[in-house]
Amino acid sequence: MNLSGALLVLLCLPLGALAQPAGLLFTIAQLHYGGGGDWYANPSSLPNLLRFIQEHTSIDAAAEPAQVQIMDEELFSYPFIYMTGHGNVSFSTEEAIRLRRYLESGGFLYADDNYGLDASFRRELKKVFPLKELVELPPDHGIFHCHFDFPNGLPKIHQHDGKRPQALGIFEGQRLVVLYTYEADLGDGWEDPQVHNDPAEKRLAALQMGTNIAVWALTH
Amino acid sequence: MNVRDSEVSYGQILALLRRLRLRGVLLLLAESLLLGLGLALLLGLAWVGLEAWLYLSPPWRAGLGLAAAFFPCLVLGFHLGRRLPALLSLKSLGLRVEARCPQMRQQLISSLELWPEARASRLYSAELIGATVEQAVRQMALLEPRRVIGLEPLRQRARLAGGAGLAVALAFLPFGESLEGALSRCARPLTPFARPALTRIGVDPGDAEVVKGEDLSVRIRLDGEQPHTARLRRREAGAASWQDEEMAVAGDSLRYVFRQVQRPFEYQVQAGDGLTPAYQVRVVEPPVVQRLRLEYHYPEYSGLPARIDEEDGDISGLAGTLVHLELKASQALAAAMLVLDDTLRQAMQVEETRATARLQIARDGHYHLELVDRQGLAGRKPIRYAIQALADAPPSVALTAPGRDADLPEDMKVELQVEAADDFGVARLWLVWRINAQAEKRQALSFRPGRQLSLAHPWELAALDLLPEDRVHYRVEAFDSDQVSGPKMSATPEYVLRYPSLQELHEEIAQTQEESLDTLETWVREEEKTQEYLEQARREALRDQELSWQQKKELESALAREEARARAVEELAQQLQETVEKLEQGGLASPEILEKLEEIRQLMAEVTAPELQEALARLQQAVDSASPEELAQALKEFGEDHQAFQQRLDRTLALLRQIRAEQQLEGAVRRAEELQRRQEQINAGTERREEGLAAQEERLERDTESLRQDLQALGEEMKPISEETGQRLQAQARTMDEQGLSPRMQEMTHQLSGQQMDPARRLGESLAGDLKTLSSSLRQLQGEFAAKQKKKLGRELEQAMRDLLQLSGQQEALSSLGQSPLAPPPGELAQEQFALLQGAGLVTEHLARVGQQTLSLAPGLNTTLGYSLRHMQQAARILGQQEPQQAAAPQAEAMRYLNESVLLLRQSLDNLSRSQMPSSFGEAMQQLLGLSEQQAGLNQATQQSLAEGQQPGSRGRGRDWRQELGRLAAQQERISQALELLERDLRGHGGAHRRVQAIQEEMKSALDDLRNRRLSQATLDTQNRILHRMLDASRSIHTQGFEEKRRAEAGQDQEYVGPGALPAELGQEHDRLRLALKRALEGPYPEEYRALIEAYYEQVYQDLMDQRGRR
Repeated sequence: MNLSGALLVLLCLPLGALAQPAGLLFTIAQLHYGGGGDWYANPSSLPNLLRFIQEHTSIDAAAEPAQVQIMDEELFSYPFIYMTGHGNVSFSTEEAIRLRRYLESGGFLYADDNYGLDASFRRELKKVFPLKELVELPPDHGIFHCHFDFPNGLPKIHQHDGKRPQALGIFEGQRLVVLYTYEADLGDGWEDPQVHNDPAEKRLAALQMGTNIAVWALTH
Repeated sequence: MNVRDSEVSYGQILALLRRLRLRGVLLLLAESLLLGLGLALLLGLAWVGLEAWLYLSPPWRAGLGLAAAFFPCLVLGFHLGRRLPALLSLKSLGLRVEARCPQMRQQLISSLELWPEARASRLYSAELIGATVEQAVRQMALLEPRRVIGLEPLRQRARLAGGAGLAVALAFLPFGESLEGALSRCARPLTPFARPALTRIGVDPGDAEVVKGEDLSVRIRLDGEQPHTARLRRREAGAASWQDEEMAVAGDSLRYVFRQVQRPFEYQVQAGDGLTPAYQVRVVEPPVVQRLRLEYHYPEYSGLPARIDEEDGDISGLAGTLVHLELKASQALAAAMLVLDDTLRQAMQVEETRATARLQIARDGHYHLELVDRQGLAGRKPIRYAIQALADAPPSVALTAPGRDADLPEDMKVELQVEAADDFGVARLWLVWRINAQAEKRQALSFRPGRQLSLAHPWELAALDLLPEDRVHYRVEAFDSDQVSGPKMSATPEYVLRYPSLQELHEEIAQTQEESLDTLETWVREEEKTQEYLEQARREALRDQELSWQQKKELESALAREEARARAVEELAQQLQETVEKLEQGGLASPEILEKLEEIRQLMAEVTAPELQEALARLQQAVDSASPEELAQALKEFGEDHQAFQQRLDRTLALLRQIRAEQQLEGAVRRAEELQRRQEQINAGTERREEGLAAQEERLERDTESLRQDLQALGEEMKPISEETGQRLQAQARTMDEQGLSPRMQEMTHQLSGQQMDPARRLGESLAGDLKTLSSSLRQLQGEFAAKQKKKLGRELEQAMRDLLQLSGQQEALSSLGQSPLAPPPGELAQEQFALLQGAGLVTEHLARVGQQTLSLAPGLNTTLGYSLRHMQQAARILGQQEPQQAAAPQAEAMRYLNESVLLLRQSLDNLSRSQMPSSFGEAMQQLLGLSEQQAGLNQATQQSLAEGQQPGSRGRGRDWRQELGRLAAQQERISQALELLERDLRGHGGAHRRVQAIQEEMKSALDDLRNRRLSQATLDTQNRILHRMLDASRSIHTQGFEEKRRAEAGQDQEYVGPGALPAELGQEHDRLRLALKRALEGPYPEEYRALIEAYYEQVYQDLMDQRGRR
């Protein structure tokens, strides 16, 4: 079954599809990238987000996220991959080509700058799509309204450098294939409350925005 | 005068005339010669001029030439013929003399005429004639010859000849080249000559030799008539037709370049009427490199095998790599040179067309190869190849766990998870730490060398003798094995482990718990109001009164609050979990209390049962419907579920209060123990005269006073639970006051500040003794409190069990009586049944109160009691309807549920009795910790075996190795058996029990591998997972791990100021080609073509990327 077929099946599953084989549950694969950065950052964030998605949408989400490297065979089994961290990111030429193939084939990459990822991620993204530019998604873009409404666009969860939060995208044709959030740090907002002591409303906003991203990735 | 004299005179006359004649002839000849010369020059000039002008044909040229030659001769002959005879005749000459010299009065001519006659004839007077002769002689003697024959004619002819010569010279000045050409042609009058073009073309170099691939530049000069364009004609060798190229002419010369000449050819230039001959261009080929082979020999430490690269000449390798270059040239070589960075030249060893050299990569640079063939022709434009010295990248290392600043757990053990990688292998790993600002210490971490490794290191910090508020700063350093430029090091960020004082933790947790309890109490009060409100709404609905709009809104608002509260309960459960973790890490609570709190957390998570949620949803729908009946029914159902919700909330709150009191008591005990330990440490420090003891003692005094106050407050809090315990706690606080712990500690602080170590130590020992007494007393008090509580609860449970058994027996008797023929009237039976129902209700209420004090009640007890009540109620109703036969079934059911409740109470008593052994759970945890240490040792041994098994030959998987695996399997089996025993002990301790079961599952897999000698990395991974699970379970650590310090502030909302819309091209302006290629790929191609097309697509895309890179 190709990726889009798998997505279709996934979206058509009834609410109580937990009895379905685990392979058909939606999960997010955390990208294990090279370069030395802490790809494993925010360990509790994805389980929390998946739980939130399970509770607030009709998507049957798995309890645990997966981990995947670009050259892994199962990369194409995941419709949604997520990367974060504070350090350096590096894609080899083969990885860049394979990641591009994955994204062209219907995959979706969400990268969240956990503070410190920005420079290397933009550099490596150029390896993947040398001729594409990141464009900023305005507040009226569907990703901010597809499930929960964010009239002002991307919420700012952590202060970081105090810059405005930006949602930047790479498009393949008309389809958003890469979403990169900068100076927002949704991933920290997904973490357990005691990790960052974020106010409840910030955590909720982060989880809702994360849900929007997942819904958008699965339906577009 | 005689005749003879006259004769002599006559002879003299003749002689004079002859001399005069000679002069005349000579002058005539000279004159004629000059005349001829002059004519010849003029005619010749005319001839040549005509030739130059007209390019005469040979007949004309020859004819005119002859004419030009003949005419002067003719004129000369005529001239001589006309003048010479007069000179040759003496008489004529005499006449000419007479004409020129009239004074001679014919005497000369008379002499000439008469003298010969006079000698021969007597007719003439010889004397007279002789006298004439004499006179003539005298006159002749006086005669000047130039008077007779002057030079004037000669001068005239000379002027003529000179003028002609001048004319020729003047003609040659402007037309020299043309006249020279004409003269040349006139020299060969019979040779035909083509008339030259008007435009004359000069080509430099004309014929040429050019190196293959190089340009040939040709300079074209145009003379004569200047055309506007010129045409260059080119023809490859052997080709029949010319290829023309037109050029615009500006000036009298132009340049044409034949680009990158590859083959020989001929060319000519045509301009106006001019056309050059065809010039030949020859092509010579310089030597070129046809193949370049690079053989890399990497430094030995890298462990990389030699590599051959024939792709391109760029050299890229580790610094220190030796590269053998071998080239094959297009032709035999005389010499070859390897030139590094355009400066350092190294001769290559040449053999025919091969040349070799060696170089060692030291730094980035470039090189090129210079070739000379045996004809001396040098290679052109040598390619510059890059030399890239790849630095051995420093290793990367990360601490994935804890990977953040954290608090030290009570057991002072931190599981470090290190991930390191290096391109050529990590050689060493060091754990580097320091306590506060002390000197750094280092500890080597053992691991299996490799390029990528993941290492779990249990770090025991107990031996560091840390004091509360100490901070351990630590990092991990990784070194690679670079032997060329020296080992390189990378380090993780520095993290901090804080050793918090129990006082700090206690305050933090107490505050959180206080807030949670306050919240819960508020909710309980609100829930009571909500319950009343819902009941009122239900009654109104039952009266068929349709709700007004305002009432509906109030109801909706109440339901919304209810929903929000239900969610908030879940969050509160989450907060409780965090509290449990803090307590656990800080060692502020015993395993029993932690287990209880965990169960309360689960209870709290279940407070908002799914049934309540569903009932709420149904009620919300019913509010919107217009039917009062539906609303009343929904309110009724929701009310029942809500009542249960409220009861669960009540129970949770009561349990939390009690557990909090127990926990605070436990915390007080531990804090007292910690105070004692700290005092002892300070006392030991006085012997060593350490610095900073006064500050430590001051903090200790502060914490001691805080404990005293907390004991006082805790006593008050404990009184509702146990009056005696509360009073004893307050008595302890008073004792502390009476002992003057705080003042004595202040005094000791003062002494320590004054460096009075000996009195300070004595005072410290006294204080330590008092603190020890305090902690012992508190520990004893705690034990007695727990025992009394359990005893009291046990009695109540036993009483409830007896009551239920009695009710069950009475229910059985009543059921039998109802079926007997001697049965009393159904009304009496109904009363009996109602009495039983009331009794069961009392027991249920009693158990609910008990349940607010203990977690030992077996799950399901409430359900079975509820069912029994329901069936008893049903039976009473049926009996009230005078149908005793119908009541048998619900009575039997009621009896069954009463009996089940009794069994569950028995189980509850068992639970309670198990919890009466405070040490059992803790001991189990200690055992598990011990097992985890064994597992860690086993994992290390397994890792070693795995490494040995990967060695080649008999050192690898030989008999010894298999025996070793057998030993490992036996060891794993022993751990597994011990775990099985532990699992039995932990039954009833939900969370810990489940975790141990999960470990057992993992262990089966590892054991299976070892038994069957299937050792692999997967086995080791499984064992590492087992170890982590054991450590997790033993510390009851939840997934969050240690507390992370705040690292970032919450973000402030900001207004969006970015672009108002997406760009039309969506950032793909430069990506159109790739998108087009991608669309092309979507075509219905056979599968075998698809791969080719994709490869092509990839190549095109790669080229695009390269171009972009170059730009």
